[in-house]
Amino acid sequence: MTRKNIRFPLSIEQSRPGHTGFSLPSKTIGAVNEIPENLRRKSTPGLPELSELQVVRHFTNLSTANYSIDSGMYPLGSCTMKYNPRINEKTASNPKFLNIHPRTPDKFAQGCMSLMYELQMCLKEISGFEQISLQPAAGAQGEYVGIRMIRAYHDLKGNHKKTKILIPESAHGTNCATAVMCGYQVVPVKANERGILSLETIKEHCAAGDIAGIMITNPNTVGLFEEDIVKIAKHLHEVDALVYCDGANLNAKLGLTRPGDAGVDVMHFNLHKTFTTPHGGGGPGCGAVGVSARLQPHLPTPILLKKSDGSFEWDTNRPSSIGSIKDYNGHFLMMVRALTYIRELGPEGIRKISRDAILLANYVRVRLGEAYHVAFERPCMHEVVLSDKKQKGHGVKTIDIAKRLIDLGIHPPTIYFPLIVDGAIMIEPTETESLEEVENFCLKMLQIAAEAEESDAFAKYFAGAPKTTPTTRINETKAARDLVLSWKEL
Amino acid sequence: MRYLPLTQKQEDRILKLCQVESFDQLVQSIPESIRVDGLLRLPEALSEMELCQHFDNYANMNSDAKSYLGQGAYDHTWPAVLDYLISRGEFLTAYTPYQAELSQGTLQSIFEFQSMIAEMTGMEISNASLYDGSTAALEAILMAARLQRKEQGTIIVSEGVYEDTLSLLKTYLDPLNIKIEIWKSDATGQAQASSAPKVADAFGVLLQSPNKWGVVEDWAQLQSAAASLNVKSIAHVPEMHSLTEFSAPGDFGVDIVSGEGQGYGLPLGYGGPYLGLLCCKKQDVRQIPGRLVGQTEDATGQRAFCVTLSTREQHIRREKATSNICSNQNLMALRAAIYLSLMGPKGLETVSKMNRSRLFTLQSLLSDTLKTDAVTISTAPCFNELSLHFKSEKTCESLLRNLESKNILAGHINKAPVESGFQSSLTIAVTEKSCPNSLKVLADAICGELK
Amino acid sequence: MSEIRENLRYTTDHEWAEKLSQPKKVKVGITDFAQNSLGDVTFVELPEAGKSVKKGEVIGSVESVKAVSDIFAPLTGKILSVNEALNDDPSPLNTAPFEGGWLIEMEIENEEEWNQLLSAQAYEQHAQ
Repeated sequence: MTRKNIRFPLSIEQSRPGHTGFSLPSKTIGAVNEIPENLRRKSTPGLPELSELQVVRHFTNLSTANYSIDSGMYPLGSCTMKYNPRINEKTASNPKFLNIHPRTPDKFAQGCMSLMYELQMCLKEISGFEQISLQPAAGAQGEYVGIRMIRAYHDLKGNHKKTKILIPESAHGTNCATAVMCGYQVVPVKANERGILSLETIKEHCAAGDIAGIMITNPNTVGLFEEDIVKIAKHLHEVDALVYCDGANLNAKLGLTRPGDAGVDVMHFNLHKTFTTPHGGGGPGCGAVGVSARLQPHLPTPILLKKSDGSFEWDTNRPSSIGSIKDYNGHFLMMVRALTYIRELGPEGIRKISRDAILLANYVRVRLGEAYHVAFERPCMHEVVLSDKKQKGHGVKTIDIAKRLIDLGIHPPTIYFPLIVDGAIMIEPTETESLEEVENFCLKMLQIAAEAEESDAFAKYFAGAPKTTPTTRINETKAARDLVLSWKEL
Repeated sequence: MRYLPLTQKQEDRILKLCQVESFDQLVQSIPESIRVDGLLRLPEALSEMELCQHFDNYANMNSDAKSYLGQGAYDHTWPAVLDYLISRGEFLTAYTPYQAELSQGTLQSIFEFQSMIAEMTGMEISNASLYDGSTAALEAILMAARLQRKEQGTIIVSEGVYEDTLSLLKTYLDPLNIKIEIWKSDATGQAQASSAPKVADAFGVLLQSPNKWGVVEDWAQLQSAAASLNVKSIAHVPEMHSLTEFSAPGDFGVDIVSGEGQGYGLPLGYGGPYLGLLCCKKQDVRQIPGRLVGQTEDATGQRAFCVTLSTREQHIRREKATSNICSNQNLMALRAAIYLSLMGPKGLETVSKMNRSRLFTLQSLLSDTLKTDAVTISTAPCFNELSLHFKSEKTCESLLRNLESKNILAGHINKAPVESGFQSSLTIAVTEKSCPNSLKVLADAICGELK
Repeated sequence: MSEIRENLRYTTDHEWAEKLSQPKKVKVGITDFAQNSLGDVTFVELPEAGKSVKKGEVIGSVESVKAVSDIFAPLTGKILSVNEALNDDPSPLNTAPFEGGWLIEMEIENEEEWNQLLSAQAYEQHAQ
């Protein structure tokens, strides 16, 4: 590839023999055991040889090619891309947190354990559950724990006929994949004309007695509160089935309503959404779970216990536990960040989060509600779903609107999800954005809607968008057809 | 409140625009019976100064001890500049790179990560990372089953796999009707192909190296066992530094490699976040779970990168997905990529030699001073963890406890290899950070307790 | 507007079937409507030649960047050959879905099933 066709050279392309970027005391390497011939590495791994400055320039330059919360708004529905406070980074970088081994005996780790306990107590109060586990690595793993516990509950009771899980058609893909990983069959459930689940429909599905549980997202993925949730939970319990709630949309409910109070048996938290641990370009997340009394015996081990003398211990004596689902205790360093955030906000701040999130989402709904088709014309919770229905007639689709937004300097909202709304555009402003920033986003969306109506609009604005960014429209087809996943193939 | 800019005036404006009298009218859909009354009973808000104090207090509640703990999490060092680069907001606060045009920083750095992990393991393909070592081993097992077109069956797992990993695998595999059969090690703690169990419905065999006794396994034994059973081979590497000087599984034609990348510049952090790794052959790439970053072009023909083969993943395949996994450990993978770029082949070689030299020092000190036949020092080839095999489980446990009361965390106790005739093994981890003087203190303390 | 060919038969899953000159031999592919909905095809998973299939059975899949669609056997019978060329380059599925993008050739068992397939007009209605 010629140089002008490359935006940034790969690190390996900048490698020069003899360059190094490390500083280690090589003089004090003493004697070693010889490695037996059959165990000795034969190939030489092709790692780059770079000076420290080369590495610094390389990654600094790469970073400038990233959009981030620090540089602009992400109106991504279901992602809750709120600001990542830097005080959280400071508290999490204490050497006594960084350097402690996960297998450190309880007696030496009381600081970490107390911190985790406080976080559990806060999440308990926020959600209304009986007990919290901080073990899961991310939302998907939290989901797995939830459904796995439901399975353990039914296995213990001998409910072998309950082989199915109800999942709304609007659910996130992880929900379905999780149910299958736990050996269940997925039964999709349709929402009613108002976009929410009906008790009657649920009752019909439960009639055959083979339902182990339901996976609900509340508010659901079209941004609406599941009004029948209390009745639905009650009915499921009556037929000895359990209720799982996907906690991705918890940002709508803080201080307003608690899933534990609604009858939910287990919910996973996305600490990287609601409690602002940084997304880091795609992870790590942190996915705690909260459970009702029914599922307490099945929580993963080890359980964090507070002893009568106020000290903490890890308890593994839990005969009905599903076992351990993650190495060690979970993403401790993310827990420090989440707790810092909760402790900074306090009860009033926590409540204001959801209030402001809901206000801003409704602002967007009304501002864009004429130019765009709104999936459901009534107040939404913390996110609103639009579609390309009004623009399609002019040949402009959701993907075109999204890519045009990039040319206008803003990251697009979530697109083509949920699947039940054709050409869905899901917008969640989050409460850390100022009204000015949200209005700026609305103005750009309105501009695009107006552009779509111009004659010859497609060629002028949308074809090949984004066209003004340093990297223009990516060829995803080529990436899949001519698969190159490492520089070894170049 | 600094993260909540909406003012009362602005709230009023929004309510007016929405044509409602009050905020309550926007949330009428929430049943009265589950509306929170008043404020949640959470502790009072703290200012930044108070927050620092609060968390310093917690940190100071951790007690200092000299730790020789390992078992998949190691106290390695990394260049100082790594922490500065990783804290750039453009990396820290970026979203998943679904809009590739806005995420070339993340995408290219992960492409480089994939490349370097493929280089270290000797494999063709690496994914963009998974949660941790044990769940990576799980995903490797499920992948092996898919490649063999089996939905149920047995996975053969070496005796040297960490006990915690084994119990985690049981948790996940039980509901899927996948059984685990143990492949016993020989008396020194190494797996031999000749003693691999012959199981009719096996679809794969997994060998961990370095294993729980710190012993380095021979990938040729893995391949031989897998070939004789006609199943897929999985190499599980919980300490990537072992691949610098010891053999790379890819060089032996291993089908799948899983591992833990914590040693590549990640802090111990009381357990996480860590860095699961998964590698495979190019012909099998459609069955690998997790995110993949591929090279492509933009509209002007300029090289670019994007997430690819998403059709394997949960957001498209839903219940037919290769896994339910959504996130990768992106920021941790970036740490590893920066670490490997700074260290280069010479840096890794230096780290590896230092680890081996520290272990040799400890081994020599103990051989010179340990004069009891209650304990045998392992002489099997090992990397940064050395095992002391005990005839009596009680002696082993009381040694550990007594050293603990002296603020020395001497290591981890595993069951000794069944064929060895010993009961328990104390596995002691040393790294380039262990200084020879402390090793002398440790050796003296151990010998002192066992007199 | 998607192309619909008069001389072919169709299924509700947007596949076409063509009777070949040899008796009981049928060629199968996906329609122009299908390839248009999928977008650029990146991969095709084809069944093995020699396999016996039942009408409606999933026999493979077609992948684009954003979606996966199952391929169903439109008729009961035996698969005689598959379009191996698509393994190296699946683009004919987009550029020539009725010609170079053909998927399988099969020997059918049951003339009745053939008569039950949609005519071009019936498919046109369905694809609206």
